[in-house]
Amino acid sequence: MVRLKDRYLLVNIIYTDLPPAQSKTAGSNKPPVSDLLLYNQPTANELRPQTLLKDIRSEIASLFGDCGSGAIDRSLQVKYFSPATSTFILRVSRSHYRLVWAALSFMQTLPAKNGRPCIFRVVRVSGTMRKVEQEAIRRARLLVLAAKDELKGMSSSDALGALLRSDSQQQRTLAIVGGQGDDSASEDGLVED
Amino acid sequence: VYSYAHLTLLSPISLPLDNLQLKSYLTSALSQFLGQTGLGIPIDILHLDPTSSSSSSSAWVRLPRPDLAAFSAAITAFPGISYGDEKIVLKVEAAGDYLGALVGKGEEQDIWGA
Repeated sequence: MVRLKDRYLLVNIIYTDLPPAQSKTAGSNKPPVSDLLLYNQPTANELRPQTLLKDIRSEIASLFGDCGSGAIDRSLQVKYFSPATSTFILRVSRSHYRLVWAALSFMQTLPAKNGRPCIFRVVRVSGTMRKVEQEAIRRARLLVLAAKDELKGMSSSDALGALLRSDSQQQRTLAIVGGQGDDSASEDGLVED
Repeated sequence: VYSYAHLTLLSPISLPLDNLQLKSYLTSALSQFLGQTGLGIPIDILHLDPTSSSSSSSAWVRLPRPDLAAFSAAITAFPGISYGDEKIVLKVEAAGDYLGALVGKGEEQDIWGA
């Protein structure tokens, strides 16, 4: 039997329209919020997976025309969407997942009228849903730890390093956060692949 | 490096073809089939045969080699431009990597008769 192979993309929504230096206001009533959490804040509930899918399809149609639309039409699906973590999982056929990745890179705002400006960042591509789910859980945990570290005032932390690092070898061997602080990024929340 | 294509424009009325007109037809075809990445394919128009017969004209174009397949597909898939009840369409007569071979093939018809 011929196997139909797919790829699962784990995508984060990073919000870019932040007020400057929010956590540094002295004497403000609100408790300081980690910048990392501001970039990765939850999405409004109005955004539904169908709207997101429609927006991705229209971006592909604009970038790649009828040919591109046809290539991914059968297989493109939003498998999971979590507004709370601003994360979603897309399924695409293996041969054309890069089309979808490219379209995501060109999308600048949330798919709504006057949608907020944001970045769609693909953080994991995998052949199975299970591995992508595990990665989503792992990243959520690291995000919490990194945000806590940032609020404690640590300018670089192992959790943040693990979150930003694209070296998969070290990601796999990072069992518990700690003891791996070599090239951790020290900027607050600026995600750079 | 480059590939070449010999295109024919078929139209119900005799249409004087010029570079700009052809470029606009190609742009239409590419943008419909391939979107913005299609528009990014650099096409050089090498030669135009305005009236080989009164209802069809011929053109030779050059494009980067990796894009030949996509370009041919786009031209073939192009539904054409409506002209009243009829259509103006583009046809790929020949496409390939070597211009000399394509020109020669075109001349074959004249040599061997038909």
